[in-house]
Amino acid sequence: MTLKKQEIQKLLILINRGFLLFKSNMAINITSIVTIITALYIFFVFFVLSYSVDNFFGKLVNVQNIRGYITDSAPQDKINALIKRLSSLKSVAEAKFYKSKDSYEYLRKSYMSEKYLELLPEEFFPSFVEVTLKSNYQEIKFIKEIEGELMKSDIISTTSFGEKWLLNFLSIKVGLKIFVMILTGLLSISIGSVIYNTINLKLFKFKEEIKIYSLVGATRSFIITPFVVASVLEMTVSFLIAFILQYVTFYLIRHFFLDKLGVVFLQSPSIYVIFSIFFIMAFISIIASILSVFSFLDKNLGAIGE
Amino acid sequence: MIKFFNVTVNFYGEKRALDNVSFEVKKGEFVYITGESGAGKSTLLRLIYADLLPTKGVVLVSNKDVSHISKHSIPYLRRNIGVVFQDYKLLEDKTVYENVKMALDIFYLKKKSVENRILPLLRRLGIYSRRETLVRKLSGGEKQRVAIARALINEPSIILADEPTGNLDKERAEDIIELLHDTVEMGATVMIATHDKYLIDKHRGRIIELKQGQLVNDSEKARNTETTHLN
Repeated sequence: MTLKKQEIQKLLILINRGFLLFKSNMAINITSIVTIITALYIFFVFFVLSYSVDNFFGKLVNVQNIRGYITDSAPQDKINALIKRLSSLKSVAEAKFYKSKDSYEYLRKSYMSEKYLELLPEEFFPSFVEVTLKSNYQEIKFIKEIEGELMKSDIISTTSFGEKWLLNFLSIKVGLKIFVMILTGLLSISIGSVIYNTINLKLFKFKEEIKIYSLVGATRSFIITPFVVASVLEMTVSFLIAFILQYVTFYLIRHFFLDKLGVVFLQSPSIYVIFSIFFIMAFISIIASILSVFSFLDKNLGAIGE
Repeated sequence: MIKFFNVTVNFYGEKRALDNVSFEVKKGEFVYITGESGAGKSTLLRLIYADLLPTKGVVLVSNKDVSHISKHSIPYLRRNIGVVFQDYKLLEDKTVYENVKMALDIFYLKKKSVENRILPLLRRLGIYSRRETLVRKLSGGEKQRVAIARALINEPSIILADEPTGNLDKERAEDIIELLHDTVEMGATVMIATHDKYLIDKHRGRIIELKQGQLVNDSEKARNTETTHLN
């Protein structure tokens, strides 16, 4: 048998021992599984809500255009040169010049019911350049870039893209991201602690067995691997149950409340995000179990022959 | 095979469990470590399978320095040493077969090959018919045989036994000593810690006597001295 095959066979035997360890300790496992499910379920609820709010504000802050208001004395050739320069930018889909008359028409079309507009002379309306961004460039940094370009020109007096609400929404988005990060951090610590303590309980239960294995020459990997496998299994089962529970919860909320109100707000994270969370949690359970076994072997196992 | 050079073991920085002990045990020897309780017999054996490291001095086992052994190397050292204890150190809720099998688990062997190694040994030790019995249902003598089976299953070159007959009656104790003598004939080196003078007197073997952690008598040395005097 080749060395690689032997190593795979060893690993399979250790994984099998991990499954047996998980199966034979259901009483301890169930307590920790329920605790992890609760933590994960709360996390998922907040995560989905934050994710949905983030997406909602994400759409709101997709700025499509910016306006640069032109000074009264601006000559046409300078306006044309500005339009040409703006059109050449990679983020720009269209740059268009609106004279006073055009902006007057623009407003009349937009606010047809406002009859008093007709009473105003068109000279009262400013001429401006409107720059529309390409769909994949509709972000604040590209708007700021174009704003800089506009302000370089001496024919532009001021720019406008709805800065105030945009920045408010952006700060809400950043706030949500910080909230999710803190929540993920706390969840990781609590799940790590639960796994650490569960493994510790199992280790005390198997103390004599571990001592005997240690006496007959078992390596650390022989002792540690089954505990790591058991903790990953514990995490996987908890994750699946918590995920299904949150899915059912949000399905019912959508079905019985939001759909009836015509509110399309809740959005489930993509499968990529779900897998990422799972891998983070699995990684944490591996680290917690390894630390738990190492600390037990070094501090609590004690001497064999005492 | 086993060499001790000026080995001292201090417990808690004060009490001296072993005090400047030196000796050598050759391959195939049968050695009794004797002395009163607290003389340092168990400590001496624990140094050999690296359950304890010396405070001073050097312990060589099969030419490897065990006094400075790394954690990573300890399992590989122990695979070559079979250890038997007075309290057996068996798992009471496992069967005889499962207890012996633990020593083979670490080699990731196939089921058939495990069976082929365990069953003949259980036959040889007279516990074959008890192979599916839970250890807690066995007598003291049977339990010690299971412990010996676990110690012998990997065919180690060194067998250490710490008061193996301490919980047994005279007849069973003699059986166990005979069993351990048999392993010497198969090429193993055996060291038994015991304070049972009757067994020591009745069975052949070298005697290393400890008193308050010091080596006070080594029968082989005494024989050698006698021979020198005669010459």
